[in-house]
Amino acid sequence: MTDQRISEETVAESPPVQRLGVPEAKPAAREVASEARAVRLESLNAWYGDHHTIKGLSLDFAANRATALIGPSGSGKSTVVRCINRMHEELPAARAEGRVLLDDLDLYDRAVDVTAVRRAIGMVFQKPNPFPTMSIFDNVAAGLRLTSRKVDHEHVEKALHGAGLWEEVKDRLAKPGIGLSGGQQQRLCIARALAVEPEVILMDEPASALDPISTLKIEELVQELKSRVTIIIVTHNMQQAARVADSTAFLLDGELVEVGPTEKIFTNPADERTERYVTGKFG
Amino acid sequence: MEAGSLRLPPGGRSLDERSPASRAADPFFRWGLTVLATLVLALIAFFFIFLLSKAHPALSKFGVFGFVFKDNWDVSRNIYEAWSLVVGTIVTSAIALILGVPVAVAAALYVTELCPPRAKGALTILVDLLAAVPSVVYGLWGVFVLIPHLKPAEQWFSDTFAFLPFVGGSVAGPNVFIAGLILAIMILPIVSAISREVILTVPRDHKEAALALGATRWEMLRIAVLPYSRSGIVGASMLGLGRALGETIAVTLVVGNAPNVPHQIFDQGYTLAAVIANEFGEAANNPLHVGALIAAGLVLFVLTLAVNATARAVVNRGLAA
Amino acid sequence: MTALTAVSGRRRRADSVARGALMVLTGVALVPLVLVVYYLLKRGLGAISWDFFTTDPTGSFLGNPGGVKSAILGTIEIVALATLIAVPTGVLVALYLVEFGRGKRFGNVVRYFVDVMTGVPSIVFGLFVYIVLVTSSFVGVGFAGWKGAVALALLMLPVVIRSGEVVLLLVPDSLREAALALGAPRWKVAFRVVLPSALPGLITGSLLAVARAAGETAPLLFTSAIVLGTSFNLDGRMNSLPVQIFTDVGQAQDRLVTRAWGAALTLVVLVLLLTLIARLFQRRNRYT
Repeated sequence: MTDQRISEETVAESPPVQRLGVPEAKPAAREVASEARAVRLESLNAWYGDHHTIKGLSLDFAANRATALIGPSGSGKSTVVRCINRMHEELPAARAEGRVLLDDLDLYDRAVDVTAVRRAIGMVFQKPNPFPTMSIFDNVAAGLRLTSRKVDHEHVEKALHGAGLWEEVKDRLAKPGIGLSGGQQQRLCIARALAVEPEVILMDEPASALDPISTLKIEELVQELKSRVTIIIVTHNMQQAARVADSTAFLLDGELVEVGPTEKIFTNPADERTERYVTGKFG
Repeated sequence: MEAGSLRLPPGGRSLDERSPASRAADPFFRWGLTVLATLVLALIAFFFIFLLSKAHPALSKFGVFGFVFKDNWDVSRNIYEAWSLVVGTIVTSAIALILGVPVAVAAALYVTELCPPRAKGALTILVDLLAAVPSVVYGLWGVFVLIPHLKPAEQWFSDTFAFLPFVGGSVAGPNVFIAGLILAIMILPIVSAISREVILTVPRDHKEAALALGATRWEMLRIAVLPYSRSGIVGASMLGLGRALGETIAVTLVVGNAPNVPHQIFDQGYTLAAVIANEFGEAANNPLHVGALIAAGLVLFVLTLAVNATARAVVNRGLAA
Repeated sequence: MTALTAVSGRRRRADSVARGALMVLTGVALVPLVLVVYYLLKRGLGAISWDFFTTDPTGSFLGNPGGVKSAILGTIEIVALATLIAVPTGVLVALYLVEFGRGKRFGNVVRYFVDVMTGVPSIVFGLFVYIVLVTSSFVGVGFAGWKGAVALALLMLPVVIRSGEVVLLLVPDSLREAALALGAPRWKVAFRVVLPSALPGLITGSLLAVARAAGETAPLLFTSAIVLGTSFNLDGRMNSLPVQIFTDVGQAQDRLVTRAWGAALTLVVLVLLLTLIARLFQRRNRYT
């Protein structure tokens, strides 16, 4: 699947806000793909101490699609995403209220175990963070090892395929994860997230620390993965949103300004603030 | 920018020459400090040489190898072969590590990762306060509180677990185990403090990566925090070991001061440091005895130097990682 | 209804057990402190009295054992002298390391050896001073309070140097550069600018070193030894609290043991006071 490359001419020719053709979804290789789920935020509020960062936000993320969250720094994009897998509450003095629904299950319900939430919703961070003391294999297997002692080699291989990294590391699975390049490390983190077969994957500016070629590889991955997993991607790069996302939501100061099909948001936004942002007048 | 590499602005004459006299003092300043620092170095070298020369009579009579590895410390016959002391030193320190390091690291983990934020400060101070208690006070407490109160429990343990190696037999009042226990208490603050520092350097990124995979808190500590901190914690333990090896007063009060290799943990024993403190008075007029005690001090010095130097290297590697 | 893969009971239990164990072990770490303080108060308070502080130990086994006046005074005298020796020397060496020794080979060598010195057992320092000053005719044979002070100073020196270096490094270089740019010579910059701004931290470090020295027994055993009467002659034998306690513990006599507890309580209060003052100082003057 890594042989599928977006031709360079296409990249050069298309104007910045035009979406590239979406490659066909690949059929699931070895096993039944886990069911992707839809995510819905209802009146989400979040605080850092006294600072009210997300204000009554309601938003839908369709299953099997990629949705981008864009907005200037400080608009709360990362916070929203961290509320979805309940990582936000890990920070001291951080608090969140409201409903986050995975299909029809409220993740903030008292009866729900937060570790179960995080297993079902994977996360890829801005800066690649493979476990430094573990090998490539162990990194991918880390999540699997939490639930069962014996790890199936197949699982790891499948996850690495899913992240487009298998060919590059298949001969050095025992080498340390941090020995890889930045782009490879990030794909390793994606493989690690994929290994536990989540239904949703959150990506918080996954390519912002990477070089352009690695960025492109990550974007390809997003397009492949969305057929199996729901993807929510935070990005400050509007061209990236245009390239990978089916829908885009624009956030400003912790509030949702506008959401819609990516093409519409970039070419014909309904809100004036959206228009000013996507045309680069601020942010 | 290093202060040592600053150059005065060239051509700034009018400002520079405000007071030529005070300018002239500068080289003296630099020289004076350098001399002082050299003196400190010389002091250390001095140390070593002096210890060697005074230990010479004993070392030459028994040979370095004989002194360290043969077991016959007999004051009445003026024979000084220190193997029982070496073993006692190692055994008490080993017990101190076995009992003290897990507790110290657990406390460090708890305070940095698990405890409610409001309790952090108080708990940290309390653990550190253990270091403020002077050695002689620990010894006093050991003699009159620990030894009598623990004897029944020790006897029970000795009887119940007699099948284990090094366990079984009658329990002496002051013994190697009590010495190890007190040493464990004494090294707790330093091992915990350094472990705390090391654990605090674990980047949040790694902890979040573990949590985001659906790890429980303990699992996160197990896969993200502990592996990262491992070498630093080892270094901290070695520093604790260094301290345990050299501890004198508390040990001499509770170890029994019997120059025999202990066969089980509740036997009496002796350590290199304890023998020096204990026998110094009576050795005063016997140059061979004095020489032997100083040789014991030398062995102790070398041992602690080696352990501490290694420990520092390991800690620095752990913190820099 | 959507369901999430539940967390297995095994994992949940492992988590609770592990967290419980860590909490329990932390409690275990605090038990000795509680017990030591408890017994110090329980057995030491009984010995405290006006006489305790104002009479010297009599050395008699059968009659009145006396108090610990000479021990307290001796500790104050010896530790004060040790501080006078160690603190200025240590601060100056720290100054050298920071002003001239950063990154330089010689500075690193000094720093390394100072580090090594912090790990040397206190009894070895006592031995050293014994060999060099007590038995040799270099300065007059015999035990003396000032020799004990030297041994303690050796103990304090590496601590003062290391903590001093840390604190002096915190003084921003921009401060130094500003003073130098005004034409001030290096030594003035050091003494008029750097030292004053680092002063609170230096005081904290020194107080902690003093607290440590005040509690040391081993170095004093071979240097100032023990004597019963109060002495202000630092050139002769001198009593000190740790040595007095150590000697009393060795006797089988009840009254002496009680006195030892009282003396231990006094010593701990002294050391704790110094430590707390040092920490309070540190907190109030934290260099942001």
